[in-house]
Amino acid sequence: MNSPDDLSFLLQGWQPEVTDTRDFNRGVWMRLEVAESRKGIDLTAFLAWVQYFTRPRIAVTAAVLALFGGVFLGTIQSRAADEDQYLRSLNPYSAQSHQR
Amino acid sequence: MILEMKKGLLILLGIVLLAVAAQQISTCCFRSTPLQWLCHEYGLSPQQAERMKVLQSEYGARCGPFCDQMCEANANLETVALGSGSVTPEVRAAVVETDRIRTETRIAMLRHFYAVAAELPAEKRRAYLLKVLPLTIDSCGMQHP
Repeated sequence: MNSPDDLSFLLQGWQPEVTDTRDFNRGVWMRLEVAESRKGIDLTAFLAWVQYFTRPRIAVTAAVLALFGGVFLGTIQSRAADEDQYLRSLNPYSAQSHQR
Repeated sequence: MILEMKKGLLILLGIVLLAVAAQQISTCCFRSTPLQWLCHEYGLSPQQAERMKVLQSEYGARCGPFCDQMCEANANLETVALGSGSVTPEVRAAVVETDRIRTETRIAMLRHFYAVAAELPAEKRRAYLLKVLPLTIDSCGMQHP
């Protein structure tokens, strides 16, 4: 355990580190600029990526995948809707089953 | 360069529209009737499908009147409850009447579910019952394995 004299000695030798506010402001602006430039890179990368679709082979492949994906999703949705319709038809208090 | 980008964007937009159109059209085109869904889902033969049609028709005829009875009982309960300041014997009787109709309906539903399940392949009966039983059993958050 340190004595009060040791503590006083340590406190005398301690120098608080205060950051320069000018550096702080500069750092904030630099970070903002980096963030802005990243957005630019993302847009550039996207536009470069979009250009791939001008190649017929890639465009056709993407179109076929989109077509099959859409049909697949539509099939799943229609089956879920059919199941829901069947369950509603079993409920005597639903308007649909009452129409039968 | 810019022309290429515009062309690429247009093609991408076309592809997205194609996917959306395919999804919408297939959602509409692949729709079926409740009975068709049941037959397809559980792989029923045409004979079993005919049997299902009969069962569904009988069920509709048996359960349809419950809806009218329940509407009447609910209307009566509302009238009696609004005209009373406490749970009088009339209010109690009106509540009991709605519960009686509800119980009869649930029993009729269960009979139908078992009749349908009996027509299904043995390995699919449990799956069917798990699907339809929540219509008659109030959920308390329990999950079946």
